[in-house]
Amino acid sequence: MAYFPESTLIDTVDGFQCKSYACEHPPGYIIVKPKYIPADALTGEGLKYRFLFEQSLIRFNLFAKKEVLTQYLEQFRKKYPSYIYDCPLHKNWFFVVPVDKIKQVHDPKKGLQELLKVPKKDLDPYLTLVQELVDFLSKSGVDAGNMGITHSTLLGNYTFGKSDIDITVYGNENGWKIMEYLKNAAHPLLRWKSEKEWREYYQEHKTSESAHFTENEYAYHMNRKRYEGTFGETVFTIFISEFEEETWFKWGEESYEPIGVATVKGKVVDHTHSHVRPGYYEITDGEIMELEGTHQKNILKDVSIKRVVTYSIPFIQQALAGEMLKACGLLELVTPKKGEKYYRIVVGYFDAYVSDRREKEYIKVEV
Amino acid sequence: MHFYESSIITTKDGLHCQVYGNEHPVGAILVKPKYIPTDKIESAALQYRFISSKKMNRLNLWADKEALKQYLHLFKEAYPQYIYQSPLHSSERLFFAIPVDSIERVYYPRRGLKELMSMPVSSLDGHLKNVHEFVTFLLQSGLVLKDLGITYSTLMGHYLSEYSDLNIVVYGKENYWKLMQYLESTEHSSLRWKTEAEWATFLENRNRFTRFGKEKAIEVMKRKKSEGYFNNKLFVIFAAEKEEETWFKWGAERYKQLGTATITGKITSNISSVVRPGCYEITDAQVSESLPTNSDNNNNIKKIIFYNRDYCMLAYPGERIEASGLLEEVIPEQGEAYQRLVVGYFDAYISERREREYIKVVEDKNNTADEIKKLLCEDVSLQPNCPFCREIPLQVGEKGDYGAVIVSRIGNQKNGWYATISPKTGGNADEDFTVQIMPFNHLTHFSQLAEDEALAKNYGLIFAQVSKAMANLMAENPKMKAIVEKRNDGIAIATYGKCTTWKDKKEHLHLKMFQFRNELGQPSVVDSTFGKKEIETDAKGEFVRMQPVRKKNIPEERFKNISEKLIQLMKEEQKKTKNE
Repeated sequence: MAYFPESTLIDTVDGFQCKSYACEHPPGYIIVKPKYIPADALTGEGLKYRFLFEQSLIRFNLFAKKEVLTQYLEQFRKKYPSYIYDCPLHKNWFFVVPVDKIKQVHDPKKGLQELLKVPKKDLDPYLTLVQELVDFLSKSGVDAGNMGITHSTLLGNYTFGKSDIDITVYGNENGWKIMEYLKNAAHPLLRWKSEKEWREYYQEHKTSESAHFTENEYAYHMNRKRYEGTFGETVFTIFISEFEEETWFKWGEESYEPIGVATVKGKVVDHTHSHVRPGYYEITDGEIMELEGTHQKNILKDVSIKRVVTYSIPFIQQALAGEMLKACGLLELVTPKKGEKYYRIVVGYFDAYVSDRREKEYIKVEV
Repeated sequence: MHFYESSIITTKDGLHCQVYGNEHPVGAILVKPKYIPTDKIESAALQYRFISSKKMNRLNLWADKEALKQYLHLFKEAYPQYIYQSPLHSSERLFFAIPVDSIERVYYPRRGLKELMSMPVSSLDGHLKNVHEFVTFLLQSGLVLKDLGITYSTLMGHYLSEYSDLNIVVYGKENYWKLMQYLESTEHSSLRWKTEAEWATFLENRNRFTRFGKEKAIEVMKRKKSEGYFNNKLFVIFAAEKEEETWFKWGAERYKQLGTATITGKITSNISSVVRPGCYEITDAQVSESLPTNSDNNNNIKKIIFYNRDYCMLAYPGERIEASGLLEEVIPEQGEAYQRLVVGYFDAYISERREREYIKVVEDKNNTADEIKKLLCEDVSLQPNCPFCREIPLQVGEKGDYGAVIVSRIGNQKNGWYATISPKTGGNADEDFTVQIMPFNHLTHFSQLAEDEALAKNYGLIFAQVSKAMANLMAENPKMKAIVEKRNDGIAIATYGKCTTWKDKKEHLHLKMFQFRNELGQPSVVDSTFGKKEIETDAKGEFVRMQPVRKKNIPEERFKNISEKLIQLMKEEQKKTKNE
C-alpha cells in the first residue's frame, strides 16, 4: 500500500539508525532493518559498539549467535514494542519504524546528486573512488540520476580502506542494465573475484548459506553475480530498488498463511524481480520435496507452487529463467484479493534468524 | 548568557556551526559557520566538502578576500537570520549567531567524550582508539573525565582516520592551565611536540614570518603545549570557560570603535589568553600608530582581545607584546571606561585589517633595566623558613639544624659571609668533606653581590681562605705535591654554586667546595670530558654512564677533628688578612 524505496536510511526519534528493507510497506510503517540502536537498548555478550554522531551505538547484528540474538530480540521487543510489527497478513513479524517515529530520512539519490556536484579536487580518496565508480556505472546507460549512495557513504562516517561503497540503483530495468553491463565492462580499478578465489573463499568462510552448497555449486553461483565486486580495492555493493509503479506486489492485496519449512524445486520461468528485496523467482512445475511435520496432508493438490521469495541478499540473482531451482524456506499459502491461490517459499524473514530455518534456508540451481 | 565554546550546532536548514565564545546574547548562540549547504549560495573560492549527504562549502576566512566578501554578502541575503547586529558594538561589527529556535541539534563535546570513553576499546577504530589513549593519558594530569570533551569531526563522526586531528576541549581555564603545566614536564612514548621545522611550516602557512621574524616566532610557539602529536596524529587542545570564570559578561559592557591602531603593552595577565575571545591584560600601553587619530600615549588601553586561536598563550606576564587591530572604547555598566584593542573580528577578514592585524611578542626595551632593578631590590632580610638564615646567629664552632659546624664568619649583617663544614659527604667519608659558604643576608642571585663592594670583597676573601684551609688540610697527606705527573696523583678541589630566577628554586645563595675525587670526581656537564663520555642507548633513549652519589655521614671523630682544624686554619688565614 505504501511505497518507500529500499536501502534508504532512517533516523528515528529514539536514536535508531535503520535501513529500509523493502519497497512496499504496511500502512503507517516502514519495514526496516535496525542498523544501529542506542547502547542502553540491549545488554548481553558479544555486542558490537560503534561511536557515531556523538553517541555510543550498538550495531544490530542479525548474524549474532542464535541464542544470543533471541535474547536481544526479547529485550528489544520489551523496550521498543512499537518497532516490531506483528503483521496480520503474514502472521509473522517485521522490524518497522512507525511513520510518527521518523526523525530524518537520508535520501540516497539526493545524497549522490550532491556528491556529484562536489569538485574532484575537494574530495578525499574514498569519495573520489565513489565518484569514479558512479561515472563508470553510468556508462551502462543508466543515468546517475537513477543511482544513489547509502550507508556510511551517504552519512559520511566511512573509513577509507575499510568501508564498502554502497550504491543504490533505482528501477527494475536500470538494475538489470547495470548487471548486464558489468558482465563485460572493464575498468582499471574494477575487479571481480575469480572462480578460483570464490572456491578459496568458500573454504575459508563457511556460512549458514554456503553450508548448503558444494564448492562447485558455490563458485558457480557467485562467479556469475555482478552486484558485488571491488573498485580500487574497495568492496562495492549494488542494491536495486524498484520504482513505485513497478513493485511486484502491493501491500494488502494478498494474505499469507505460513505452513511449515519446506524444500521445493521447480523451473524458473521469470527472474525479472530476483535482484530486488524482497526478490522472487517465478517457477513452474513446482514440487514439494520435503515438508516438516504433518503438514503434507494439508497441502491443496490443485494449488501450485509459483514463487520462491527472498529477503536475503546472498540469494538474490541466484537463478535465471530456464534453470532448475531448489529452495528451502517457509512455505506459505498465498491468497490474493483477486486471482487464484498459490504457494510460495520465503527465505530470509526476520524470524528465520532465530528459528531452525536459519540453518536450513537456501536457494540454488542445479549445476 | 553562557554556552560552551567548541560545541557544534547544526541548524534546521543544514548549516554546521562551531560555537564561537563562551558568552552569548540572550536567545542566540554566537558561532562561526563551518560548513554551509550549497543549495542557496556557493563559492568556488571556498573548499567543498560532502558532509551529512550534502555538498557544503567550508567557510575559510583566509580565502581570497574579494570572493569571501562576495560570499558573505550572499550569506547575509540567504541567511539574514544568522547575522547578529550587536547593540553593544559599533554597527560595522559582524557576528554570526544561531537563534535558539533555529537549532536542529547541539553536539556536546563533553557528552560525546563520555560516550566514547564508555565504549569497549576493542570496538573502536584506529582514530577513536587513539583519542581514547590520548584522553587516558591526559587524565593522569589529575583532571577528571567531565573536565574534557572532543569536538569537530571526531564528535560529529565524519572524521577521516588518515587525516583528522584530535581536537580536545578542556572545561575550565584553571583546568586548562593545570593540564598545560602537566604537559610541560610529562613524558609519554606516544607523545611528541612539534619540531622547529613543523612550527616553521605552520607559521609559513599562515604567512606569519613577514611580521614576526622566523626565530622569534618559532621560539614563542615552541612554548605552547596545546599542540603536538600523539601516535603521530596532530592534537590540539582548546579551553572553554566555565560560567563562573568568563572574563566578561555579554551585556555588561558596550564597545565604541575608535579606529585602527598598533600598540605595545606589557602583559600583566595571560590567564584568559587560552579561550575565545582571548584576552591579554596589559599595562604601560604605547601607541605607535593609530588611525584616524594621531598617536596618543595618554591612552587607557588595558586589554588586547583576539578571536584567532593562534594567539592563545603567545605571551606571559612580564613580556611585552605588539598588536595591531581595532581600537575600541569600552564603556562598562559599572566602573570606569577604558580602551582595548581587538584582533580578529569577522569583519576584519573582509577589510584592510585582514592583512594588518597581528599580535607578536617583542623585545621589551625597558625589560633589562626593569628586571635587573627588581632583582637587585629584592628583600634580602632573614627568612624564618630558610635553613641558612637560621644559621646566621650561630657563632664559630656551633652546629646548625642540619649538623653543619660554622667554621668561619666574616663581615657584618649587611656584607658578611660564613662558612660551614657539612657532616655528610657524597665522596669517601674517611677522606673527603664539603665546605659551604653563604652570605649573611638572604641573597638569591650572584648578581646581587655587585651592589655592595664590601659584600663582594668578603665573598672573595672567604672563598680564598676556605680554599687555602682546605689545601692545608689536604697537604697533611704526604702524597700531595704542588705539581704531579699523573692524573691519579693529583688532588683536586671543585666548587659548585648556582642561582636562578625560578621562584620554586630561588634559594639562599650557597657555594659548595669539595675534594674532586671518588664519586664526586666525575666530570661535570660543563666539562669537555663529560662530552667525551661514551654515549649508550636503551629503550628510553641515549645516556652516559655515571657513578651514583649517595651522601654518607662522616665518622663523628673525624668530623670533630677536621671541624676543629678548619676553624683553626680559617682563624689563621683571617688573622693574616687583617695583618696585611
